[in-house]
Amino acid sequence: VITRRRFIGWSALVALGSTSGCGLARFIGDFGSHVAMPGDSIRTPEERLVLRVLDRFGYGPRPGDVARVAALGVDAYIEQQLAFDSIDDTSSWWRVRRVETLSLAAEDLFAVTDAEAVSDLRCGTLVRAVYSDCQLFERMVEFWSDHFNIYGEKEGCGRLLVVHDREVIRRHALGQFNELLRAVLTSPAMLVYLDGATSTSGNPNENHARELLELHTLGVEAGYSQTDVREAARAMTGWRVRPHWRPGSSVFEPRFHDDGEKTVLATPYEKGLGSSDVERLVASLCANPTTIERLAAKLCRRFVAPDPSRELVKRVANRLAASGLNIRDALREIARSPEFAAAPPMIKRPYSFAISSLRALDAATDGGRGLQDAIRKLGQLPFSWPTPDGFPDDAKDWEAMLPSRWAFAHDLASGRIAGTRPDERFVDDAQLAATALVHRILEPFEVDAIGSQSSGTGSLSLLLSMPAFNFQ
Amino acid sequence: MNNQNTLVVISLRGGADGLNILVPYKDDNYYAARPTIAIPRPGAGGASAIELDDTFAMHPSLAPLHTVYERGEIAFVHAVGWPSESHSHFEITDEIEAGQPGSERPRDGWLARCLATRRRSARPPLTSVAFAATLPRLLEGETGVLAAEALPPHLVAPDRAEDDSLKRAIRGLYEKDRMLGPVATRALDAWEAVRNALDSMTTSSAVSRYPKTRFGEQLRSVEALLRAEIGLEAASLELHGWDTHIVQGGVEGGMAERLDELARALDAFAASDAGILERTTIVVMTEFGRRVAENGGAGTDHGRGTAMMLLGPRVRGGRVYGEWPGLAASALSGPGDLAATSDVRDVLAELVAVEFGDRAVSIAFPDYEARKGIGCFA
Repeated sequence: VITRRRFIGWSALVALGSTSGCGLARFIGDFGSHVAMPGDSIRTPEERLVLRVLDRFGYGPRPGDVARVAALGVDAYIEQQLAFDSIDDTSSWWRVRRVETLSLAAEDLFAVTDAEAVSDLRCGTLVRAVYSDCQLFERMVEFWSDHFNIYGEKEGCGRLLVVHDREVIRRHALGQFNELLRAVLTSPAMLVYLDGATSTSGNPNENHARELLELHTLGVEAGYSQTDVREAARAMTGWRVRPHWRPGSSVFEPRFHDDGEKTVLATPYEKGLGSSDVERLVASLCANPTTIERLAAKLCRRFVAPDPSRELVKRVANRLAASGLNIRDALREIARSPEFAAAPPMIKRPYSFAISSLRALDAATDGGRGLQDAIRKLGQLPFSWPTPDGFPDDAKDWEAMLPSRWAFAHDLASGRIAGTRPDERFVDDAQLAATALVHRILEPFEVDAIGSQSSGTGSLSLLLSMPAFNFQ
Repeated sequence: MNNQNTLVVISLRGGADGLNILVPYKDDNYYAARPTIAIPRPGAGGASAIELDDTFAMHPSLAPLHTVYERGEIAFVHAVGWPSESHSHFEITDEIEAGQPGSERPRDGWLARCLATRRRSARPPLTSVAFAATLPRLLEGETGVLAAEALPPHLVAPDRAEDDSLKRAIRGLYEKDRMLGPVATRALDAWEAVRNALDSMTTSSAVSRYPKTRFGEQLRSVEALLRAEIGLEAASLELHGWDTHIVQGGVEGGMAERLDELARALDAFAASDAGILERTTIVVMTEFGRRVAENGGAGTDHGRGTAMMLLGPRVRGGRVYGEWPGLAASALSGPGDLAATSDVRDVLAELVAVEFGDRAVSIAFPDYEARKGIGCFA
């Protein structure tokens, strides 16, 4: 039982601890044992930047991470994260390996139902977000899953989405945007989601073409016409999802393709190009400065601020253009920018709120039904956004859901989320939890509020609920 | 503002089969197209459709509502549909709730925009509730809305004393936050209103009338909120299970059970001794109807035209509205669907005009140009 007096006493301890003990935390952090140490508290502007990097380019620090990354240096950490394929990610690998669906070949996925496939994919996504050391990579998987949103519950999408996530999104998440866009364009899951799979030369379906221009590349304000949409739809006809014996791949079937002359966005396409119509379409959209600027702006909005400065967007766009749309180069530009360091606090989206709480509290989770239901109640379960525009970036859109975070916080603290449990030490010791979650000495009014609780569960749920932990 | 009724929108998710809800019992095409799932003609012996007029009879599961219909408090509109060729649940649902067809639709919902047109002397902490796991598009953009699958007696913790204590503490933690402070305070105030309503409900004798299902509980909660007179202006409810691709059933079976649940809950609401229905307008709608012909799995695939139901004192009830296109092969739309001779917005526009004023119609449905007067509201 925590009395208010004892709590205030502990608060003073944080102040003491924050001046020493950093080395010990680093030592322990290096061995992967997660104990919140006084070194997790933030004292200097450099450490504040470390916390921001961990919060925004990852899903928040685990105990010991702040000190570890501070010792390494932010730039070196970002480089490490960008070179994700040389990170030893054993801790998430062996956990995800147990979700067999995720490694099934496309033709073997028929062993599971669409609903099981989506549930397993969500499980893998959550487990990786919580445990993976490739945090920036997982963040970018989330970014692209929003940008190229596919609704997991749409009929026929579930199994295909497993293949899509593995072979399209994860393969290109930190690669080249043009290659990613090309892969998405004929990905079976996207063909089914946006009805491209039934588009024919006589009756081209405009749905996919419209979203390609509006959401995936140029943006609705780019000034293209309905004719451009129709012409793009003609260029995209002919791609079919292979039948059940090879469901994870698509095939170009000339008899469904409109092979006539076309003009898309003022570029003529001669007749008879066949399947290379889409190659030309991708190349022209990727060369278009509007696409590049829009992508740069979206990255800046996600990682820096809801209204990033024009100069920053321009610099990131230039970097993208100069590197042939290299995603790593764009991220490096953002991470090293003074705008990133000086950006105001941003409200976490509900998913980040949930994952960062599990990481900070060193929680054990199976990523299963319990956690999925809890995150669905927050409004942001992966692959549950029905429309092609993806989960909104704007904090305003999430405000009505604020109370659901308080309930999540209490459910997590009191062990009500099946299959997920925070480390007991954070329930027993509010002081330790405060350091792990908000990394600073609490203000007197915060101490008053949290000290009003007679149980560790109550204190912990308030620490998770408080504004400080809801910003990044 | 005593001329202001609470608007309750009940969405039958999945695409409800209007042809088995309002049966065109004199049309032989109907019986020919549905050899195993058709609803027998009125008076056919056993469970059969309930005659409403010369053309239509309603599903026997709706029997509890027959007297309300005869009292003139229920109207139906048949062969109504959304102006979009899509047969996708989520796309049509999203378009309907945004109030606009096509991909360039507003972010917020038509009902949220209507609520925003109201001038109030004092804004109630809780203008609306959405019974759903996440806020539906319909009410997106409304600040005084609460989204939850049920109104549990607690916001944060199941134990009442702990819940109160945590809410007090959360209020203190958020008070000074410039960005989230106002949102948090509004949400806490709204829950206080809910709590008071629920406390008064447990002492009310009305509780036993409702079916003991999630939907029944939700409609019962609407009654409780109305009884508490906290200024509730709108509610959104969802009833799932209408996507009857296989084994739809006829007078019995899955769809009949859903209709029975709907009818008993609405009947309980209409029978409230507190005169709740007198202060309410209810619309029951769905994203689309289903194919006229049953498929090989004794079910029906996604279609187009379907039926809507309206309840309340402002409804000119006891009638079935809409221009009936018939079920002859030449009259069908797309792959064999009941044609939509009325736009969903034809009905909703009249509803919005009655509840929010003429001015609100173009705000609710920006692209809509009134084409058809249905005349279903007084």
